[in-house]
Amino acid sequence: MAAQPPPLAKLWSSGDSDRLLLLARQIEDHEAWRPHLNSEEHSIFAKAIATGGDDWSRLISTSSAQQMHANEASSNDNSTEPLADTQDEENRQQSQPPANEISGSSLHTPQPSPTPTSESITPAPIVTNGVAASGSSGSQSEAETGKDKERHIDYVALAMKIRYMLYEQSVDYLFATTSHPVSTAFDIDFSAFAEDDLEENKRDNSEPSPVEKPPPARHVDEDDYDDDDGQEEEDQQPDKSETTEKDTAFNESDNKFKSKLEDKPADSPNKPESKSLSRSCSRTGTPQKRSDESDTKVADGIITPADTPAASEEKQNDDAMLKFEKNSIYQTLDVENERLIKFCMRSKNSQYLDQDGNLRQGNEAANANSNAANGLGKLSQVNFGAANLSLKHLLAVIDDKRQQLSFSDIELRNLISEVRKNRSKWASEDRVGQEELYEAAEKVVLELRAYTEHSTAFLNKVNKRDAPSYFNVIKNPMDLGTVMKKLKALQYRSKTEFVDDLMLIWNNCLEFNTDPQHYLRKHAIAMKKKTLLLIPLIPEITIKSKAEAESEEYTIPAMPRDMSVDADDSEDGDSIVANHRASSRVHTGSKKAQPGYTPHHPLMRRDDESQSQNGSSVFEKQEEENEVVSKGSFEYDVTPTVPETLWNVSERLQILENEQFETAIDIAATESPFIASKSGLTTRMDANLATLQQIRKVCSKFAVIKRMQQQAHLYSAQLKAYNPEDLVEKDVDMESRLPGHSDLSREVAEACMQRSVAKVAMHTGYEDCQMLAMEGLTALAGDFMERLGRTLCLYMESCRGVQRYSMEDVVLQTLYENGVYDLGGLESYYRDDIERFGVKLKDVHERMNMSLADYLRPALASTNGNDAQFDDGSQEFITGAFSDDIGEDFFGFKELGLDEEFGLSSMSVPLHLLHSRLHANSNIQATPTVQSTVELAPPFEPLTRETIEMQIGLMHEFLISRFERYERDGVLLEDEALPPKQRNQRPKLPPSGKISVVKKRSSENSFADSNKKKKKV
Amino acid sequence: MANIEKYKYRPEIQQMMFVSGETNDPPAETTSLIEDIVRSQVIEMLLQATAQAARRGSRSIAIEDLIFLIRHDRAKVNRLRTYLSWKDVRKNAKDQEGGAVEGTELLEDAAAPAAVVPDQLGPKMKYRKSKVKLPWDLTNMFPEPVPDAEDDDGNAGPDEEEMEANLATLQRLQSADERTRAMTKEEYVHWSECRQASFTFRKGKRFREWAGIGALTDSKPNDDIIDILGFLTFEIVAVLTEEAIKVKEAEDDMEMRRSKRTKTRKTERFLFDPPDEDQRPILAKHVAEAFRNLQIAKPRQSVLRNFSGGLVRTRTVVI
Repeated sequence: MAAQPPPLAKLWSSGDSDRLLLLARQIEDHEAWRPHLNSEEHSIFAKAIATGGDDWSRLISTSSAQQMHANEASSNDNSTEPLADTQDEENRQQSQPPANEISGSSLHTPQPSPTPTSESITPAPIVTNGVAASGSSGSQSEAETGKDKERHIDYVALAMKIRYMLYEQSVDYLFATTSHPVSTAFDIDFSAFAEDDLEENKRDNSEPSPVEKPPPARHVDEDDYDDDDGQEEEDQQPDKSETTEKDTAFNESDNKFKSKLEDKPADSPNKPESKSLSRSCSRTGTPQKRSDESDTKVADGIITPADTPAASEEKQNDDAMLKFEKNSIYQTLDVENERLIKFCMRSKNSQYLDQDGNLRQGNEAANANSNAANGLGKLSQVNFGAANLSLKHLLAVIDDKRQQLSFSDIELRNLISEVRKNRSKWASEDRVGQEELYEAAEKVVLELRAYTEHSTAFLNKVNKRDAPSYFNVIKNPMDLGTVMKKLKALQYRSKTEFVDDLMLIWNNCLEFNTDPQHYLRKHAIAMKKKTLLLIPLIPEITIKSKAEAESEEYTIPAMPRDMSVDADDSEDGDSIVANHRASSRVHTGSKKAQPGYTPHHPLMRRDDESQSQNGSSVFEKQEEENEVVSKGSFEYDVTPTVPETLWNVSERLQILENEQFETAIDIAATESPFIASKSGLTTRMDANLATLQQIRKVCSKFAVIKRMQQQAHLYSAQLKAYNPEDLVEKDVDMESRLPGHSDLSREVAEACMQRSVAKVAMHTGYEDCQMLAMEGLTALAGDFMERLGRTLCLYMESCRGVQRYSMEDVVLQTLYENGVYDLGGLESYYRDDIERFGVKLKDVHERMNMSLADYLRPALASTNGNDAQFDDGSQEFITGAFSDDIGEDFFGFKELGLDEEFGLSSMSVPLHLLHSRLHANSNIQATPTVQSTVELAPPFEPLTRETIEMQIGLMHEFLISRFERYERDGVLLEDEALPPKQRNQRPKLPPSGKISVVKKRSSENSFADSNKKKKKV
Repeated sequence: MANIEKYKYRPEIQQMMFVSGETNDPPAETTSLIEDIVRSQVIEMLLQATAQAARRGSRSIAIEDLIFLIRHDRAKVNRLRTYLSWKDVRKNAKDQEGGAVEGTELLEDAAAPAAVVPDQLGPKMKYRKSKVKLPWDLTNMFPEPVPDAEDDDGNAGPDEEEMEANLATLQRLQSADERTRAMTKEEYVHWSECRQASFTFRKGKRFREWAGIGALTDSKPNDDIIDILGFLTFEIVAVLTEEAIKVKEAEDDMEMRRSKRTKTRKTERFLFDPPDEDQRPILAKHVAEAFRNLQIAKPRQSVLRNFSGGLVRTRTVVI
């Protein structure tokens, strides 16, 4: 729709006769009338154009066509009288052109009629659809015009033709791509129309309820009215007329309207067919709407023939779904009238019942409008897509019109949640988890059904005629069709139920067809394998009713509750607690599950000031410093077990706490000592890590492509792209950074260490690791650092002879003692493991990228820049990959909002969508296997020791010997049931029936042959 | 020496020591000690490599297992890689030219003075040098294979690591060049013969028996492994000799100082004095001391035991 120039839309929505005249003159200039009018008609047309003004408007309004006709052609008076009658009626419906002219608004729209008397409108639809009055043959006016036609040129028809022509031309302009040659050479100067726009806008604004261009989706439900009985309809009539009045922004006085209302019951012959047509047209406010109208009908018309033979349930379902959605959209948009909405709900409910009727009528309508449909094919397609506009735009519109709505927030929200776009047909408010489970289950069933090599036998129920004994053996028959039915009836409550049913199918088959050679067994086993493959794709969901799910939700939050206990204390306390919760985490892309921790901090500092004197000699000074700052400030531990009385915080304490909070804010602004400063090694390591991630991303792309090539089916779940987040070093929580806290709290230090260790591990190349391993590494690293510290301490305290060690010596000695034998090692670590590593990484990244590009487009490598990619058989047009290059939205993803829905980064078709499509094609070609109708002989009674006596006496000994060898559960197994190794190897008879002794000659020959070969070698 | 027959590599060790800087003929004790050390080193390497292979779930040693043992000595690893890739080139050349290329050429290359090297390399660059890939290389870190970097002419461009290895090689060649500068023709012939000394070259069977490889490993190690071991044994002897020379110099230094202090003899030198102490060959004690030095050099394992005591088990360090 983006291509539509606004002046045209305005033109048709306003129906300004003056501007139509401009258009008509253009047409005349370009002689574009030829396909539409004959010479006689054209002469009148040309005259009207030449005269312009009133004549023109009369001509196109057809109301005064007769007068014109009278003036110019001076026909006999007989015909004028009856025609005038009809014209009178039309005048009323057609919003009275004279009045329009007087008011200066020039709002002459031929189509939209606010009158509820739908039956009398019959001529209007003809006008609007631009079809000669073939559709409504029963109406009176039609008969009249028919009479007129016999003698003269039918002016009504002429007017319609001209209108149609005008419309056609403008449509051609809109969709220049599919236009016929006339319009390619025919450039309408639209600036002329555009000029008037400002004025027009002003006028529009001055009108009471300016709805310039109602969203197109609102008319879709028109079909649904069709089958309602007359009673209900009459209830609705006033509502509808009211809305229409507002919608089309007519300046109609209430009086007139009322008078029409009174007229209405008098002439309502209740003919269903004409009703449907007239109704559908009665509300078409703009050509835009009108096209929508025909659009739905066309859509219905197309669907119907396809459906009748195939009768695929799904398609119908989809169709219903589509309609349901459209209806819902309609509801939310047309919120001006509550009663109307109620009606829509009712009609929606009845819609499912009346679907057949709908389709039939849609078919008729499509036939009637076939002409229009031909002309408007493109338009309708576009609008069809536009009906699917994502919810975003809808919400925007609603927000714009918010003050005009009489709905409460809740009502709106409910409505919108009903329309929610992304939900599938399985979605249900009341049954939590249904959508996901059923979505997957349906996929699995379809997949199994599509496995035509083996699935044929299991598609439908076993027929008793095919296997009379079947139901004696199998107590719980099951088949794929039944599973699908049960799915549709929402009978499954969990994955296991669904899976059980599937397995039941295969097991039934295996149970009934006991013959191991039976062909169905192979199918069943194949299907079973397939099922087992597919089962993991179904999520483990047990559907719960909404009430259940909610009650569960209420029980869960018991755990974090202790943190919010002090919420009532003061706001400050609350926010600090919140900070506690946001505890620091070692964060790297791969290690997500780092447990949060809240450092255990010294309690009640105030009470043990003396403690600081006991501190170790090294850190004494620091502790004292801390003490100075934290004197008086303290932290308290909040647990739910603390009795209420302790919460009596004195005012002084509260003030202190506030102070502390303020310091916390100050701290937050300053650089944290717990994060490695962004310099030197850190920056280099970060850069390396980023490159690593990039390389992994490329690798994941490779993997996806390879999997696509190898695997038959792909599910989007398998196509998870590796999309790492940027690495961010998270700071420790606010609490541990408070000045009252020691920097040396073990937990804080450990967490920081773990973060660093994780980083180093990742830098070494680990993609992922277990938490336990990470903890072990951290412990080791911590241990090492501790030893370093102790060694350092020892060297600082000891002396070499009288002299103390110099600082340099101390450090070197410490390092040596702890395994760093020379500084060269450290240097080479930096040089080799970080700097050079980074260079290598970049190199690898580049190479991977290049090879990926080669991999994807082998043909493009040499002929880049040429048009070679558009050669025959190239996929460019399928994938639309070139749309990125030319910057054009070739498939209209943006327009449809698909780019946001699928998160498309480029404007080409996502690879996995294409793949499944291609695969679907190949599936169709697979040949189905034929099920044999041969009935199996009933299996023999198994032999037991008791029944041996009944056998022939000669056999006794043999059978008993067999029993000794092959008995199982007191039954002698048949040979076929034995495990393959124990089976009796029967000598095979050749087809000739003669048992031939292996001839010696052959072996001699082979020996000779081998000798010969040897010689050759 | 009671059973001198036990030592089979005396001439080779002598040659190697000569190349590594020992100018005199070392006594049999020295060479025997060195041979013992080398054998113990070989055994140690084989044991560790077998353990490594077993951890991999394989019964036979792969090249990687051996290289893994010396992985911390990057220069050595790189030298070894160059050696292996050249070996590959040689093999290819042999295949193509019907075995015309002499096997000795490889060592010849190394032995030749630096100036000669490029001329000899020139024609050989035609053969594609396959790079020895190690599992812990960066390129193996990712699930997808990384394509080789290729220059326009299709040759793998010189790697930084290769350059590094070349640097070390060049240094060795330079020192060898300096030593050979003053040599006469006969001396040089002798020198170049010594350069070819190897534990394994053309005596693989003897080497296997000597090191008891059959008893150490389940499966028979392939020729590549033996070649690598030959390369490494040469390195061991070279390192030991260099270290032993250092030890001897330090000892001489100390001796000199002590003698100066005590002022016993040799304060003056005369024309017909016997040759200097400098002429003394490396003795067994020097080698033992050198080996000790090399063994204690980096007790990395014990570092984690600092402050906690306990018995620290040390393994023989692979030189």
